Amino acid sequence: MERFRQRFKSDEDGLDIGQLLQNTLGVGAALILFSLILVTCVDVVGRYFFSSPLSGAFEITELLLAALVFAALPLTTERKEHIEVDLINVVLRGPTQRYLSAFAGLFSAALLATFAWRLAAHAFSAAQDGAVTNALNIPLAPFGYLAAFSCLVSAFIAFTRGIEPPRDFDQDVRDNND
Amino acid sequence: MIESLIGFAVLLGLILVRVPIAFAMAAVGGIGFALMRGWQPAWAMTGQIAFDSALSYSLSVIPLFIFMGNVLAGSGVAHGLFAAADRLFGRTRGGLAMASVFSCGGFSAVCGSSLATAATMSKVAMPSMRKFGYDDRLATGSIAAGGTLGILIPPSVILIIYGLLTETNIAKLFIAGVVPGVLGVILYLVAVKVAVWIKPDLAPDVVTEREPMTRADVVGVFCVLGLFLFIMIGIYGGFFTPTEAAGMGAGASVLIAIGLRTMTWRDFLTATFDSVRATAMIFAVVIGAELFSNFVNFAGLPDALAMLVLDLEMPVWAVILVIMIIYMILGCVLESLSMVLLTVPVFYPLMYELPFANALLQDPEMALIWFAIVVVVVTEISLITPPVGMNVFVLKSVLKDVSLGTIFKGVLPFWYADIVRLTLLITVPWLSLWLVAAM
Amino acid sequence: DTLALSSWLPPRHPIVVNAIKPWAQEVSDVTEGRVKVRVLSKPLGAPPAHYDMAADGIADITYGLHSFTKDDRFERSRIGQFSFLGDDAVSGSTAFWNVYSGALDAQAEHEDVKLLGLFVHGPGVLHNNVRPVAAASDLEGLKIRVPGGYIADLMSDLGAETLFMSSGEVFEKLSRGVIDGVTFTYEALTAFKLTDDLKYTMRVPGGLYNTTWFLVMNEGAWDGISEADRTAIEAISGATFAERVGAAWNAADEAALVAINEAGIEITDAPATLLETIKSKAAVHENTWVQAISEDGFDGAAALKDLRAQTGVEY
Ligand code: NA
Ligand code: NA
Repeated sequence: MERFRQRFKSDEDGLDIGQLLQNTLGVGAALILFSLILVTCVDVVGRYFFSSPLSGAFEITELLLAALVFAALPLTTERKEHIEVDLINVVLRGPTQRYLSAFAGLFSAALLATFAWRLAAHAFSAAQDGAVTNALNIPLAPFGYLAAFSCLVSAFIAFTRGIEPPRDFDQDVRDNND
Repeated sequence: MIESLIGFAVLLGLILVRVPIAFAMAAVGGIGFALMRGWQPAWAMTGQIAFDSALSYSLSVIPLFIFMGNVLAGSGVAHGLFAAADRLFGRTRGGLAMASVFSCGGFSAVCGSSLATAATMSKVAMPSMRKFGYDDRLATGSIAAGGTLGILIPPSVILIIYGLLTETNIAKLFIAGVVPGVLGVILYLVAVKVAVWIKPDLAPDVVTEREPMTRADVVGVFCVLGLFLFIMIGIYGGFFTPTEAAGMGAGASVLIAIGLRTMTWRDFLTATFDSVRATAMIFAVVIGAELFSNFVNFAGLPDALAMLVLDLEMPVWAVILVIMIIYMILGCVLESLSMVLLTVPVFYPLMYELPFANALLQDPEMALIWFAIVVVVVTEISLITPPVGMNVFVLKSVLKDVSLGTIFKGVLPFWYADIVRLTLLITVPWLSLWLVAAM
Repeated sequence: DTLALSSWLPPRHPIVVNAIKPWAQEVSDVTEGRVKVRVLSKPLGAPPAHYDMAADGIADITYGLHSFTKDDRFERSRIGQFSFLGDDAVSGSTAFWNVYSGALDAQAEHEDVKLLGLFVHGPGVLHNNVRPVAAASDLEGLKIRVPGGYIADLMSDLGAETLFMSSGEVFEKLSRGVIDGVTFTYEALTAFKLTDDLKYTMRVPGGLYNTTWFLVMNEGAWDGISEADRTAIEAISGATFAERVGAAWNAADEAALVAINEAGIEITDAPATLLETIKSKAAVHENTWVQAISEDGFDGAAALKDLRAQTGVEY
């Protein structure tokens, strides 16, 4: 990925995959997060001040959450923010580290690709059954396809990292939230 | 039973070669399930669990509480907390370290995550402590340890996850965390005092020169206090549910950030993007853990454990001791979220089986709440236990020139304080439960 | 051979304790231990996934509600959701099993699984904490939590404002005044600790609504059982199981009624005018359903009549 990114960046107005993801899926996820806040606030404020709660707030919240999680997954994967335990690199030397890193990358890619496939199959059968939400009759299948697509993008990112693992290992751990 | 143990061993192996924990759990869980039941069911389960886990109303609190903490971290209220705590403790030896601990506790009241609390407070408290010549060990140790309170003092992402795993009322879990959290702050303050008493060179003699407390600092303190009260009164006064409290708190934090005018648009976007990425990270772990625990459940580990405990007629204290030892060992290498997700489904059914002597714990729900607090505290300990101490790593990433060894040395006094707290909470369940009973 | 049963209700739910687990034990008894059923301590998926879980073989045996997922699969099961169907869960479940698995060919709608049981709970009623409901105008503006489906449509036809939420949330929303009432069974009032927050209950003959449940086994697992054992299991399933699970619901309803009376909740019957209004609104939905299944060659009107005759509801 690092080299990939370098390659793209070397262009004059180069393409940075991280930036590209943030500008597309990232902005989408951010908007979903704001909607999530808005739904709760409108529901709560609405029922106290206007005595009119939002009828389907429950379902909207669920669907927004699913969309948020999967829209953000490629971003997390691209930034290497999935939790890893960095123990073995203290003992091992450069080349072995690179092999292990390649293994972890390809392993992640295979797993994410499997998820993409299974989510697509799940969404397909939901579409066939005509599955919709209870109150608002919102079809579930599109959310499944979104999830599958985003796992596929994440798998691609993990794959590029697997075939070209970064040379330098940054020891720092980002301030993830637990 | 034996299948589960092999599964755990393979999982640890994958984690050690740096496969992301979420993916390792998903793979071992899925393949383990496939080997026991066939591939077709395992494939079906994978898609269904991945989708259903994200489609959850109760889990919507996770992005909301994270966003609230991140926005407040960027809005500068933490500086106010530290300045105010400095007023309280500034004039004694080790006063700034005590102020760090105290303000960590304060920020925990509006932040659901230990790592975010440590990251935020380190940016605020470290510069002062360095300026006045505090030893790096004490300075980093007080923040790394103080930050662990983020998951005990409500709101707490870990308590929410525990509530979902065990079907325990989240409002009750939150209120149960208050007294143990305050106890944690007090014991950490004592730990600072004892540490500088034994090794006076850890902190300079009385610092007379203090940072002036600006108007913005005062406003910041009131914002944190106000938001905490807003959430607690909202939940316990019956105005909204804990799930809704997260949305209201997130909305209020945006209003605070706008009102304070300290946050740039860019910082706000960073806080937002950080929150959505952290959400995906957490859900990846949740999905992985769900698959893994399905495998363990199918292999019959929780049942086997319950049978074992009943057959051996082990006394309650021995069972708890064994569980705590397992947690302490796992806590060395595992990260907090995956530790809770992996172990709680295995151990919590025991809380129904154990005939507790203490009258307070006769009620299984009370036993589950008490166990939640014990699990969170032992998880807090894991955050500062080597070799993998996530809070220590956070401090290291903020302060590149300090070695990991220095920070791990620095947390040692606080680690002892944690052991004292854990012992107190286990032996005196009333500490965790009296507020719950009083509500 | 040990079969895994995934159970999503709380371990101490009356249905789990008095129907699912005893049935699992009886399977082992009647097959002389050749077929054992293990009730897992934790479900293998979310409640709505339980039908598919049996079809896909994630678990061998599951139970659940047809209305969990709103899709086109169990159209004919909706016969069990209407008003005026039965005053107790034994007659209701038995009649539902007889009619749906008989004339309405339930097995055909439960593709890819072996249908072992069908049942309903006790009669659904309307609870609220604002006023006794004696006319349709009393429903005007009441915020009522509904589970979705037929009863949601019926309540909004009658003028109530319907809201949706998970059943676990009803307690908090009710005590916070977000909703004024709920359509539930008697049993649910005690199960969700609602007796202190409700004052009035309105009932109609045969219940205002009901929900339909299935008990199914993975087809491959079923085929793996010997002919003799399958016959033995069928003998304790189907109508026999409907009776067992119905009795469990009835006992739960009776226990709940004691608590409801103690709490001083006022139970009233819908007066004749209101009953006529409900009947006319209900008939619209029944007709829509009869039309829909007639396209597949089923006589819904006759089936409904037969079901009501079996439970003895005057209609
Ligand atoms: Na907190
Ligand atoms: Na650790």
